[in-house]
Amino acid sequence: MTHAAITLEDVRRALGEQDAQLAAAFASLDPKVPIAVPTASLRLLAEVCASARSAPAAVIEGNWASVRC
Amino acid sequence: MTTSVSGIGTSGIAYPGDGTLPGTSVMSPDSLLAYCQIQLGDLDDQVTTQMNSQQLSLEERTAVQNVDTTFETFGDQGPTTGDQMHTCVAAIQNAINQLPAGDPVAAQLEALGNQMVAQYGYKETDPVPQAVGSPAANVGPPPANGTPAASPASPAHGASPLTLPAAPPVTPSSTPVYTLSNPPKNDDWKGTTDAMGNLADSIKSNAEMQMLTLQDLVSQRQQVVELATGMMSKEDETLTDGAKAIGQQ
Repeated sequence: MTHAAITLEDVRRALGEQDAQLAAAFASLDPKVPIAVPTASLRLLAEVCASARSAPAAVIEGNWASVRC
Repeated sequence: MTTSVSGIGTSGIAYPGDGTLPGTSVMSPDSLLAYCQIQLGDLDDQVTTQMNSQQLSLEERTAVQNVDTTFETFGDQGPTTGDQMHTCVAAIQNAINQLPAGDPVAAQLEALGNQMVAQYGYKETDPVPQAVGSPAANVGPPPANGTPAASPASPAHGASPLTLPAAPPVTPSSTPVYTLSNPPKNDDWKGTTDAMGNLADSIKSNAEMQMLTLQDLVSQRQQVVELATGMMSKEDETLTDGAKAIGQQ
C-alpha cells in the first residue's frame, strides 16, 4: 500500500485552516458578552496540549537512547 | 509552561443562586482567546521546531543529492584524472558550504571527502605562493545559491576544511594542477558512491520520522482547535439550557 507523501506545504495549509477555523469561531462571539464554557472542556484542552508537550520529546530530539527493547 | 485556567472566573454573568451553572466557567471571549493561545503556544513552538528540522533535512538531502549526481557522471569507474576528481571534491565542498554552521551532515560530507582524497591520492597544486601547503587550494566554485564559497581556512559551518594533500612547490602555471595518483579501481568507486547513498538514505529516514512527529503534532493541534471551537459553538446552547433550567426552578 502506498501513501501520498505529506509535504511541508501540506502541513502549512493544515495549520492555516486550523487558524482560520479558530478565528472564525472567535469572530462569531460578541466580545461584550461573557461566555459560560464547560470547565471539563477547558481542562481537556489543557491536557491535550500537555500531552503534546511531553509525549514526543524523545522523537523530536531524535534521541532513541531512551527506547529499551 | 502553564496549564492554569487564567482569566476564568465566575463573575461577569448573572445567574440566580450561586451565580453560575454547575460545571461551567464564565469568562470573556478575550479571556477564552488568551487561554487558547497560551495552551497552543507550546504546541506551536514544537510544530515550528519540527518544520525547521524538516526544512533543514530538505537542504541536506539536496546538498547530498547534488554530490551524488556529480559522482554518477563518472559512471562505475569513477574519475580517472585529477581534473575529474577535482569536480567531485568541489561538489562536496559546495554541498558543505550550502549547509548551516555545525550541521552534522556537513561534517559527514567532510569526512567522506577527506577519505576520498586520501584513498585516491588526489593532489592539488596552487601556483599562488601563499597557497603552498595551504588548504586554500581546495576552494571549489561558488555554491549554486550565489553566495561566495567560504574559504576552507574559515569555513562557514565551523568544521575544519577538507584535508588537502601537501602541495608541491609553486609552478609557474596560472591555474591549479590536479593530480590523481591512485585512481579508483575495481569496485573502489562503487564503495564511494555507496557511502554517499547511505548518507542520503539516512537523511531520508530521519526526515520521515520527523514528518511523522510533525503530523502527530498537527493532529493534536487539530484536536485542540476542535475543542476550542466546540466550546464556543456550544456556548449559546449552554446558556439556553441554563436559562431553561432556571425557569423550571
